[in-house]
Amino acid sequence: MNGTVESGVSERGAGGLEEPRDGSKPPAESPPPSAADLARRIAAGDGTAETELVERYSRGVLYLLRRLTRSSELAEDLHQETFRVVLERLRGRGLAEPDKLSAFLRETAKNLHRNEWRKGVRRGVEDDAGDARAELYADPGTSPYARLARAEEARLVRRLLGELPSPRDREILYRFYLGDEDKERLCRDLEISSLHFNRVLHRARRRFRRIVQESLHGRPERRVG
Amino acid sequence: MEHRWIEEHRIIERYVTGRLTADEEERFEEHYLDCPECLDRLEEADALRRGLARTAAEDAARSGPAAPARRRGGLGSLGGLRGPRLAAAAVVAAALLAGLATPTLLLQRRVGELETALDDALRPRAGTPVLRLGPERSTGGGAPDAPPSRRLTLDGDGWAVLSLDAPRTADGRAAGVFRVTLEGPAGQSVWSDGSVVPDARGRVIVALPFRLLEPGVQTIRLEPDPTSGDSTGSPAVYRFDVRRPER
Repeated sequence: MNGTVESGVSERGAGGLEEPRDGSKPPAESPPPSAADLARRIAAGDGTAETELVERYSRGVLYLLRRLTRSSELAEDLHQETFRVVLERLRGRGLAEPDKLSAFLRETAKNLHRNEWRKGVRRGVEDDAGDARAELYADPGTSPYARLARAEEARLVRRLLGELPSPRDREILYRFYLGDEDKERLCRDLEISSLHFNRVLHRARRRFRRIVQESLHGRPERRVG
Repeated sequence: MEHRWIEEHRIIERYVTGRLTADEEERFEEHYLDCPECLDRLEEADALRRGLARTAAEDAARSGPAAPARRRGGLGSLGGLRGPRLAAAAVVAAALLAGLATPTLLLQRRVGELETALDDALRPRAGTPVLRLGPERSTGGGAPDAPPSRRLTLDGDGWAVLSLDAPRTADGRAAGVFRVTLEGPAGQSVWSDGSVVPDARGRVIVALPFRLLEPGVQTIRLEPDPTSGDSTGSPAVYRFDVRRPER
């Protein structure tokens, strides 16, 4: 995978995928079992391993299926079916490559969705993705963002937009997230550097994260460093 | 896929806006199935995108019902959008056109370009070639297979429909759930799809765009799909020759 690393936008302590900001270390925990371990234990008849599998992968599989189906109800049905198929396989002849459990889960979920979609096409059922006012994705899950009502999301985004330093930063967000324009084209059109573009997105995401947390937990806003 | 790489290549933003390559998407989806941190970031990006769409809609509603003028442009700026990605972009475009006016003229032009591409992809076509194929019987013993007897001559752009006689079980049924793989003349895998079932006549119907078919012998493999939980089908191979008219 080719790509250049942009300098100057440090992700450390910036609210991304990071270590705790106060410098403390989380308590030492034993690492979770590997996917291959889970697969082997399930093949050996370990019922607790099956529960671990579902608990560990359930949220991710459901997110993927909601994204594919745009229907919370259908995603739930396919989510159950995915684990049924996968567990049946793991209990039976197992996987040729047990460490590729994640890939097998993904492929199974996508195939079940594809099959369901084909049934819909054969029945002549229209995909509701054609609805001009359809939500971008399905009903909420269980994360903080999932708990926000749609109208509340819009209110918080409007607050974010109001706090951005310039109209150009707002245009970057609209055009990148809604206009489907790629970074290179946006930088060219708006005559900004790649580094500036990255900074705008990064700061907007960080700011939005804090606004959502305040909304849910009522903490006073901390100034961004 | 490491988190630092995910941050540096803006994988999460590109994923929620449908901009990852197929390989990146596959790798990232396999990663986040087991990554609560990435799932949090995905839901954050989704919420941000939904909120932006709603604020744009609210602003449009407040500013009046004027419909954005359609700007028809070329397809060159689409950068290879196709299939589901094109359809997803068209959903956003359709939502934007249905009264949710965009803040800038450049967005409106982009919507027009996407409409044009979608119209082109969905237009009806006549003269579609249809080829019926039965499973090959191998000569065995290491001898090279005879050239395929069926041939498609393709000219220009379009689609070809293949009607494959599905392999039968011992009791004569065309049963099973299959993965279909198209291999080109050099044996390279060109396209693959799973969860395919024979129709009521025992045929698997495949529609292929001409652009996937290089001149030479093509091979289609039907294999039982391991992710389906159904192992009743038998594997089968089909071959046909593709020619292009000489200019």
